[in-house]
Amino acid sequence: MSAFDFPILEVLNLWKSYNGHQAVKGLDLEVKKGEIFGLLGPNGAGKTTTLKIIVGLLKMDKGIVKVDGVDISEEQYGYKKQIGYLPENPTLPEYLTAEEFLGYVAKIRDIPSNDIKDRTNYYLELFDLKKRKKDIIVSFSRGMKQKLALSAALIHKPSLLILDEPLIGIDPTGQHHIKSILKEMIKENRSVLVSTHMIDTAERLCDRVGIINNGRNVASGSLEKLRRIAEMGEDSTLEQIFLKLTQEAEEVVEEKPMRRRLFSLFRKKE
Amino acid sequence: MGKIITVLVFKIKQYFGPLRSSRISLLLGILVFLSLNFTGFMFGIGLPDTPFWAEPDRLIDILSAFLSIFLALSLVLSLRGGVTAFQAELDFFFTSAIKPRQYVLSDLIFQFIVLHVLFSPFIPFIIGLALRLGITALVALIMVLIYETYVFLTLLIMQSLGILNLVAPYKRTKVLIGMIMSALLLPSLSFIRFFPLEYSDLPYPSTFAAKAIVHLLEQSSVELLNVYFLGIFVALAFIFHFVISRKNLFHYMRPTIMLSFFESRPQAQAIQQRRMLERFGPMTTFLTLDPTKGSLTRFLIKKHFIRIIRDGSLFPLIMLFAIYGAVSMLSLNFSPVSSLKEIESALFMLTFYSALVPSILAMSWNSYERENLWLILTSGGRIVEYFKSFFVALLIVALIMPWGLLIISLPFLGLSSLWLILSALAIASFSSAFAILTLILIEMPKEGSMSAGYFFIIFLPIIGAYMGASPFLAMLMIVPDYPIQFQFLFATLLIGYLALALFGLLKLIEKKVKSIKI
Repeated sequence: MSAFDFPILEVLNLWKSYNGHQAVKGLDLEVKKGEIFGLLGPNGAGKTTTLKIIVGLLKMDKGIVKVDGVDISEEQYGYKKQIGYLPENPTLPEYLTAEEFLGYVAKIRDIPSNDIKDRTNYYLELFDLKKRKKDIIVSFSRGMKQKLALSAALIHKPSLLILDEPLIGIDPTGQHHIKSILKEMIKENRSVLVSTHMIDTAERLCDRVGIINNGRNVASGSLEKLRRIAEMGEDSTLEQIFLKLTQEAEEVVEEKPMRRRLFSLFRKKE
Repeated sequence: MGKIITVLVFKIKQYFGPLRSSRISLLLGILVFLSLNFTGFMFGIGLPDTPFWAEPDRLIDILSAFLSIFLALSLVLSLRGGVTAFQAELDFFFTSAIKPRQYVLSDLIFQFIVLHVLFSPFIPFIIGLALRLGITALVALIMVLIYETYVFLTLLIMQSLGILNLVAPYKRTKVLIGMIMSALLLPSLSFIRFFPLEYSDLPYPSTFAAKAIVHLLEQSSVELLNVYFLGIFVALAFIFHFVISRKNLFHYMRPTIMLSFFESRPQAQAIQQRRMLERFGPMTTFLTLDPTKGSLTRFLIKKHFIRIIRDGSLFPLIMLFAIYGAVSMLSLNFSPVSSLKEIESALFMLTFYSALVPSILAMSWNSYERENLWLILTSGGRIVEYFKSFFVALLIVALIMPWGLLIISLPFLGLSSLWLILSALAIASFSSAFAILTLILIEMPKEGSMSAGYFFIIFLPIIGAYMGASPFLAMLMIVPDYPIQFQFLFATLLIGYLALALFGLLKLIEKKVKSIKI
C-alpha cells in the first residue's frame, strides 16, 4: 500500500442506537488520503449519526473508528486537530462578526496568533465575504452563513474535511465555487468525506461513493465498480445504481443486531 | 365554535406539553401550583391580623394597587402584540380559513387559563379569608366573580390594545398605551412617598372592584354602585374588543416571545435574543474580540462578555436591578446602614440578587449559546477552558451587579463591612458554579419553560447562593458574642471551608463537562 492509499479514516463495524432504534448497524467505511468520498443514502440511513460519531459529538455503542491510524476511543481529543467539520444545519454564534467568528475558531484550534489574521482574511476573501467581515452574523443570509461555517471548517487546514450536506442553501455559483475549492484541497493530499442525498453532487464531486441504507453498507467504490456491483450498463447513472442497490437492500431479510454482535465477538476472539 | 376549541386545545397542549415529558416535570409543576395556592390561602387566613385590616380605605388602596399594577403589566404584553401565537400556529392556523375573531377568542380563553395556572393565588386567598371570617360561600363566590370579571376586563383591554398596536403601529398608539400604563402606576407612589393621588380616590376599574370586594368583606352585601361602574368598564372594553377583533391581525403577527412575565421558553428566549441582537448588535461592534492577544482563557472570557452584551442577556437584569434600585432609593432615604439586623437583611438581599444573575445568564446561554457548542466539541479538548471562562464571566457579573445595586441603594454599606465583601465573593462563586453545573448535568428541553430542567436552572443557583451565604450569616449572628481570637479562628475556618467547597465544585465541573450534551 502506497502512502497515497493509506486511509485517513477507517470505520469498522460501527453500531449506534437511540432510544431502542438501531440507527447504525455494523457500518464499515474507508476514506483514503487525497480523495473525496461521498456517503450516499436516503433520509434516516444513518449518515449524520455516523459523521457525528467520527467528529466526537456522539458516542458509538460498538465498533472502531480510526482517524489517520488513531483510534478515537483511545485518543478522544487529539485526533480532532486533523478534522474539519461542517454540520448539516450549522448554528453559528450570531452575535460575533464574521471576522471575530473565524478568529474565535482559529484561537480554539490553536492556530499561532501571528497567523490568525492572514488565515481569516484569506478565507473571507476566498468565500467572497470580505466586504461583510465587520458585520455581525445575525445579518447574514443562509448561504453566507454556510460559506462562513465552511471557512471555519477549513481554517486550520485539516487533513480530513467532513461535510454534512454542504451545498444546501447555496446558490449554483457558490456550489461551483465550493466544489472547485474541494478539488483543490485534495491536490494537497487532504481528504473530504461528504454526506449527501443529492446524487448529482456525489456523481460530479466524489472519487468514490459509499451507499448506505438502514444503517448498513450497501456498496462502495468508484462509479465503475458500483455499476459492476449493480450489474448495470456503462451509461447507467449513479441515481439508477443507487435506486437499484437500495431497493435490493430493502428486500434483504433484516439481520438482528444481537446475532451480528455475537459474530463480531467471535471474529475478535479469532 | 369548533375552530375556537381546536385552536384552544392546540395552544394548551403546546404550552403545557413539556409538563408531560417526564414525571418529575409534572410533579414539580404541581408542587409550584400547590405552593402558590397555599401561599394565597395562608395569606387569606392571616390578613385579618395585619394592621391594614383596621383601615378599610388602606385595604381598598392596596387591593386596587395590586389590580392596577396587574393591568399595567399586562399592557406591556400588549405592546408585544397582546395576542399569543406559537410559530406552528403562524404556519398552519393563519394559513387556514380561520377568521381573526375566532382566533382571538380562543386566545382569550387560553390566556385566561394560563393566567389561572401561573397566577392563581387569589381564589385560595378568598377561601382562606372566608374560612377565617366565617363568610358564607355565596359571598365568597361573589368576591371571586368580581375578581374574575376584573381579570376578564384586563385580558380584553390587553388584547384590544395589542391588536390596535399591530394593525396601527403608530407612535400615537404606543403613546396611548404608555399613558394608560403611567396613569395606572402613578398612584402607587403614594405607598413610598407623599403623593396627592391615591387609588381609592380614583375612578379606576381596579378601585371599583376593590371597593366592591372590601364592602362584601365588611358588610356581607353587594354594593351595586361599584359593581355597576365595573360593569360599564367591561361593556366598553367588550365593544372595543368586538370591533377591533374583526381586523385581520394575521398580516402583522409574529411568533409570541413572552406569554407572561417570567415566562421563558428557550425557543421564545432565543427569538427574543435574536431580535435584540438584530437591533442592538450592530451598535456594539466597537467592542472587538481580538484572537491575537492574550491567553485562550482570557480570550474566551471576553467572548462570553461580548455575547452577554450583544444578545441582550443583560437587559432583563438591568431592568430588574434598575426597578429595585429606584424603589430602594425612594424608600430608604439614603441612610447609612450600621446595625447588625440591617447588615443581615442586606446580606439576604445580596444573596437573592447574586443568585438571580447566574440564573438568568445561564438561561440565556441555554437558549442561545448551547447550540454553538458543536464548534468547541469538534475542535479538541477546549471544553474545560470554555466552561472555566464562563464561570469567571458569570462570577464577575454576579459580583458587580448586586454590589452596584447595594452601593446605589444602601450608601457606604460596601465600605463598612468586610464580611459583606467576603460573603459577596462566596455567594457569587457558589451561585455561578451551581448555574454551570446545572447547565452541564441537566438536559434542557427546547420546547417549554414548564419543565424540570427550567425549575432547576432557576432554583439551583439560588440554593448555591444560600450555601455560600449561610456560613457568613451564621457568623454574623454568633461571632459578635465571642472574643477577637475566636472571631479570627472562626473566620479562617470559614474561608477554608468555602475555598475547599468551591475547589470541589470546580473540579466537579471539570470532570462532568466532558459528557455535556448539546
